[in-house]
Amino acid sequence: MRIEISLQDGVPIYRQIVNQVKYLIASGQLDAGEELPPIRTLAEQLLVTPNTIVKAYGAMESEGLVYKRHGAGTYVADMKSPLARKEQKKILAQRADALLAEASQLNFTFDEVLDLLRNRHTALNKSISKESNNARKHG
Amino acid sequence: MRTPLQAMLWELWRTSRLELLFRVGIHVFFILFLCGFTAETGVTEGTNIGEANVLRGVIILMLVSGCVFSITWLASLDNQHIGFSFRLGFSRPVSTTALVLVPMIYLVSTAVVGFLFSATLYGTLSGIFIPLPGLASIVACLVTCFIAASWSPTSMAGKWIGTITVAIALIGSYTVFHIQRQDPEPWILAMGKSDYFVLAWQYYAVFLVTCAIAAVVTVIGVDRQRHGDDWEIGTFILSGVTRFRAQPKALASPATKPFTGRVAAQIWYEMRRFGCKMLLIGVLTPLLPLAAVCIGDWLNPNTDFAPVMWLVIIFICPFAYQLVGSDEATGLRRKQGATELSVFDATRSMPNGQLIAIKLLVIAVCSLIGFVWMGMTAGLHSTVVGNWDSWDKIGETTSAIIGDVPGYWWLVGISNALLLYVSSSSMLLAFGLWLPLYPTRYFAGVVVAFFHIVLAVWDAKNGWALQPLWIAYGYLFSVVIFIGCIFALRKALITRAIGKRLFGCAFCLWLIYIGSSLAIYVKASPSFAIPTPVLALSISLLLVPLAATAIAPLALASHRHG
Amino acid sequence: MPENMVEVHQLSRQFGTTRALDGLSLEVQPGLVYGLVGANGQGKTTLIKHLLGLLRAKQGSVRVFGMDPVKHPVNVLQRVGYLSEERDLPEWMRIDELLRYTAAYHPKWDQSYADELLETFGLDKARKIKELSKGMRAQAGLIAAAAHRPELLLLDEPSTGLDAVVRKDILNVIIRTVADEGRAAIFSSHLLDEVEQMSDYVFMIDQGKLVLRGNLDKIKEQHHLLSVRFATSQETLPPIDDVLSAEQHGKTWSIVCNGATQKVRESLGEIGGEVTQTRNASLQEIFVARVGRNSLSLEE
Repeated sequence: MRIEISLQDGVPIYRQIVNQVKYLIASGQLDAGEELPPIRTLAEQLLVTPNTIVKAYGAMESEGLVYKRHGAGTYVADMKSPLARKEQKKILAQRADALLAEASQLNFTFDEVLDLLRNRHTALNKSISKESNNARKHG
Repeated sequence: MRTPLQAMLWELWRTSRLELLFRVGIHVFFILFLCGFTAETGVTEGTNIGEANVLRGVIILMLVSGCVFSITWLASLDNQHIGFSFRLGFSRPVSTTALVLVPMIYLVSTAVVGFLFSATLYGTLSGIFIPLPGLASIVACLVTCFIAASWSPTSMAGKWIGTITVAIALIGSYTVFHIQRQDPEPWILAMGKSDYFVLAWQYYAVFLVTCAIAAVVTVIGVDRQRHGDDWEIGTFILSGVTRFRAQPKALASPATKPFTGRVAAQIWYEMRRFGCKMLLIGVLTPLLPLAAVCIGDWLNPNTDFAPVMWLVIIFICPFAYQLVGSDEATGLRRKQGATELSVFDATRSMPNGQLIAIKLLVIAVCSLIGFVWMGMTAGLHSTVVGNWDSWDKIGETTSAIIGDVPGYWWLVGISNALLLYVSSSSMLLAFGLWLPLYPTRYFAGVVVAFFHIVLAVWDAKNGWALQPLWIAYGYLFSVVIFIGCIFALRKALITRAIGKRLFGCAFCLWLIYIGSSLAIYVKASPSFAIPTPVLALSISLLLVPLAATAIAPLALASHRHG
Repeated sequence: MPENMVEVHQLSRQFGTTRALDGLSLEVQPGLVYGLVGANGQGKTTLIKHLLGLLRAKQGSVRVFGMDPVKHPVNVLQRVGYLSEERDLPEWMRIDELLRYTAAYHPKWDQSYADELLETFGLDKARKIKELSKGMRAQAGLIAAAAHRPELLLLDEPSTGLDAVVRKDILNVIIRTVADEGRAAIFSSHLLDEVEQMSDYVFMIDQGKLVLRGNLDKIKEQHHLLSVRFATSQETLPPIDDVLSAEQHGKTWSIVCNGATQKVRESLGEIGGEVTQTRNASLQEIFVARVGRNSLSLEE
């Protein structure tokens, strides 16, 4: 499980862990039922105090992302539940907030942002289809 | 401070001024004591030349050795860092020559000035002439050579080789000098003659050349240290030695067995830290009297002073070892002028009383081994030379003095001496620990004592007019010592500087000591009368051995706990 | 609530005319890592020395494991692992001798842990301490301090002067110590990002006084860094409540405030300042704001 801690933006470390795990779950890199590393191991890996990991796991448990199995490890919860979908929406909402704030700073109107999104979406679709064509040719 | 020279001199002065004052104090104290002694015997140049010569010889010997073995550079002899003592200077913008010569000249000058001061003082006070130029040059030459031996080498082996070489060269050249004079009289008498140390200019030239050579060698050696080079000869020999030693180490690795307890661990630690050094000194020291005796025999085949000399040395050596040992045992480090207990020692999870007890144990064991070895060397020498009858004569004289006592009194006397010895080790340890904390108080005490010595010497010459004062002092001191001991014991027990078990052991030993002292007193009192103030003083001094067990842990505690 | 491992109450200490500690009170509980932060000579080492009994508490009291470390040196020091700032170790000992000697003093010595650390650090057991580099000395001292699984790990400037690899090793050992039940670690450091990463609780000392203490996350959530833009150039800012420091970069000011961010925004708005960015302040920014030269917090 690859997590990176940054001290730059003032976000508490446990929050960063929670956010990154959320992202890993939402993007499918962590499957439902997969076991998260033990508190001690993750603490040594990230070089943060065990307490921070405890906090992070506790926060994730209360948000429904993970569950504890009678003291023997922490496991990823099933993401198909409506709670999971809500969490995934939250992640996207955060990204959108950041985009909108930056756009406002740079004096872009909302319509310009929408246009930009449409253009990027088209470009992304084009490159995806190109890649799948190549794959079919050489595959 | 505008030049590097000024800066270096200032640094030297600041780091050594207390020691210099201490040395001056000791010298003056010593001189006055000698003056008083000379006054008592009534020996002057005019009256009794023979005895004056002996006195002069002895005093010259003491003065020269006292000035040569000064604290400042002797301390560098047993420093952790082998080689040059002022390593901080390596990274300063001064040439190695200046870096070496400035402290060397400083140390030589202080030694010579100290000698001149003491010799003049003694000469003026006692009226016995001491030849100054020759002896001052000898002091300068000796100090330079010993400094060279101490600063040039980069390893322990090199240091010992250097020091021993200088010692041998000293003894050898002196022997040649003495033989050359072809004086038929015994050595001490000959040396004391007023014209013995009045030297021709060739000798001064030799001294100068020797000093120059020593200085050059030191500069080269220190320069190598500055640039991280080693003495190639030294490393070549050493690499051979280490290769030889490395093989047994690889086979047996006893270092993996854990200690049986923290006491065992601490004993190992103290032994490695200073016990081995003490043992080494104890093993090597008998070589010096052995050499002296052999040379003396060779120079004066008629007189047989060897047994007396051996006896004196055997008697003195435990105290000498004790002095060396307790200085090392304190664990205080002199770091660039400041004295402090290392944090590593201060954070031992062991009570202060136990730490002191272990230090005393190591000092006692190493001194004992040194003492026994000295005795064995004496015995060996006597067997080889075959002068056991001289020993018998001494034995007879001693028995005649002591009188007829049953065998067990010897046991009482020996046990008394042993207990006194251990308590004096404890006092020395406490002294070594207290002194760095309160140098001003100590110095003030020395000044006061010096004043009183002067007074006593003057009074002795004027028929003891101040006798009531001394009697009053006797009573005063007995009261002060008594109260001081009680106070120290109380403080130690309250602050738990010494544990109950250790104190119990000490108390039992002290009871034995009291018993044996009383017994000796009762046995000896009919023979001679003891004046009351002295008696009072002695009674209060009885308490001192017990208080000594309390004072050393208290001193250690004040170092540990700031 | 777990019993306090360390209790310091109104501790003051003077060296000559300098006040090294001034009425300092704090508690340390097991299970947490405590970061001790402060500029040079502000009292960190003095405090740590009091905890070990290396200084006797002349004013105030110190209790470690409920005991006075001066009166009970054996009981306290046995359960404490200490790495001094100067890495004070006997120069003549070899590393294995040092460990063997230290093991005799701590009955809970774990030789397998010591061996594991030796191997991880890559130290040669047979080398003498005087031959070791600074980093290796810190490593050797750390093994001696941590291998007996102390209840309290006290590290005085453990990372100062060491390279990144050794620093990671040290942090790792701290984590492993605290991960066991009922242990605590206190480490003092100049490297604030390390303290920020590795502490649960922070003590900030300035001129012998405790100027800030608390859970690290809470501190960071409370302190905010505001970027404020003024229409006209301002020479100085008038004093505003809860503003700890203000630094000027042209027309923009960086302001660190503690707590009531909304109120500060309003006050700034009153004098014509527009807040362009808000974020949580990092520990370094909080530290500089509180004790640095631009600090406006004049707590007597």
